[in-house]
Amino acid sequence: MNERVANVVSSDTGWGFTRRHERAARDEEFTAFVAAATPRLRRTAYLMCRDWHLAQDLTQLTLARMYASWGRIGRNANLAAYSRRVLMNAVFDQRKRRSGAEVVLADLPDRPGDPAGPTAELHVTLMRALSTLPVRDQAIVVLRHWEDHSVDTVAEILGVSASVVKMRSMRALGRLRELLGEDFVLQ
Amino acid sequence: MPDHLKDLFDRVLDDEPVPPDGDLAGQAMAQGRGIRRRRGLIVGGSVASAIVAVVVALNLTPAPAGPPPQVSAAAARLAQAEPQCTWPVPDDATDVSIFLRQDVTERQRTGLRDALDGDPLVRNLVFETRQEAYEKFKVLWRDSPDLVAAVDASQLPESFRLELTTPAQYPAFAARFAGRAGVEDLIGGMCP
Repeated sequence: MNERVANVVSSDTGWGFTRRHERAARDEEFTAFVAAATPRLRRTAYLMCRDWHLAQDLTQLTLARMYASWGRIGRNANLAAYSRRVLMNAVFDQRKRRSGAEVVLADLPDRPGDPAGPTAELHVTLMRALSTLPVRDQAIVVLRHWEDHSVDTVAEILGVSASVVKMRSMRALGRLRELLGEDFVLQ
Repeated sequence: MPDHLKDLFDRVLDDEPVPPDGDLAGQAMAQGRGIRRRRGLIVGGSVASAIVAVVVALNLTPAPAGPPPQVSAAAARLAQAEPQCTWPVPDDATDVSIFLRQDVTERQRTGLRDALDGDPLVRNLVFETRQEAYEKFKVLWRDSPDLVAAVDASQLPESFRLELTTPAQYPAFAARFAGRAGVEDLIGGMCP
C-alpha cells in the first residue's frame, strides 16, 4: 500500500488514467474470453452434472472466479486448462454439498419401467453408467474423451500425475464397458 | 472406443436448451469483484495476526525507553475498514483516510486541516483523535482481547476522514496530499 501511494505521488495524475486504461483492456479481454469459452464450459459442466440449470450456474461461478483472479492469470496461461480446473473444482464442491445425489442416480438404471431401461438409447445409458463412477473419474472421462484433452493436460487440470490419469481412465472405461455391455463394445 | 465415446457424448448434448440471454461477462465481472473483495477481507485477517505478533513482541522488549512505538498504519487502517467498503482502492475512491505521523506538529496538523477545508473535492471532513481511533479499535478487535490489551491509544495514529465529491478524482487528490509534511499514510476506499 505504501508503495502504491508512493506511485501516486511520483507519477502524478497520469497514474490513474493508466490504471483505468489497463482495467478497460483487461475487461475487454475477459469479455472476449467469456464469449469464446462459455458454450464449451457449459457443455462440459452438463456432462458432469446432467442438469442444464446447474451447468449454467457452475459456468457462471467459474467465470466469476476467473475474473476475480484475472489480473494474476497472465497472458501466457493456458486458459482452456485453467478454466476447466476452476470448473471442476466448482463441480466437486457442489457434489460434496449434496453427496446423496450420486447414490440416487446410481440406482436409477434398475428401476422397473424406467424409460432408460435396456431399450433406452445408448447415450442415455452411458450417462447413467457414468454417474456411478467416482466424480473424479467422471471428470477424467469427460476431459479426455469428450473434451479431447491430452493425458498431461488432464493431469494438470485435476492436479494429479499423468500416470494417475492413465490408470484411472483405463479403469473407468473398463467399468463403463462392463455397465453398458456388448452394445458399447460392438458399435 | 474413445472416438465412439465422443459421439455418444455429442448425442447427449443434442438436447441442449437455448442458453439464457443476458450479459454473461458483465454478471461474471460483478460477481468476480465480490469474490475479490471477500478475499481481500480474508487477507486482512492474516495481516491482523501479523500485527498481533509484532505488537506482542514489542511489549516483551524489556523496559521500553521513550514513547511507545506507533502501531503501523496497517493496524489503524484495519480499524476503519467498514465491512461494506473496500480498502484500499487504487482509483475511484469515495472515502479517504489520511493518517498522521506520530511526531506530527501542531502547525502541520492545522496546515493540513486548512488545506483540506479549502479543497473543493472534500466534504464531511472529520478529525479522529488517538482516543477515538482506540475506541474503534477496541470494538473492531473485541474478539482478540490480547491485541486490544497490547495496544493503547498512544500507539494509534490521528487521522482525517473525509469523503470525495468526485470519486474519479482520487488519484489526483492522493498525489496532492500523500506527500505533505506530517502525513504518514493516505488510503482511499470505495463505499456504496
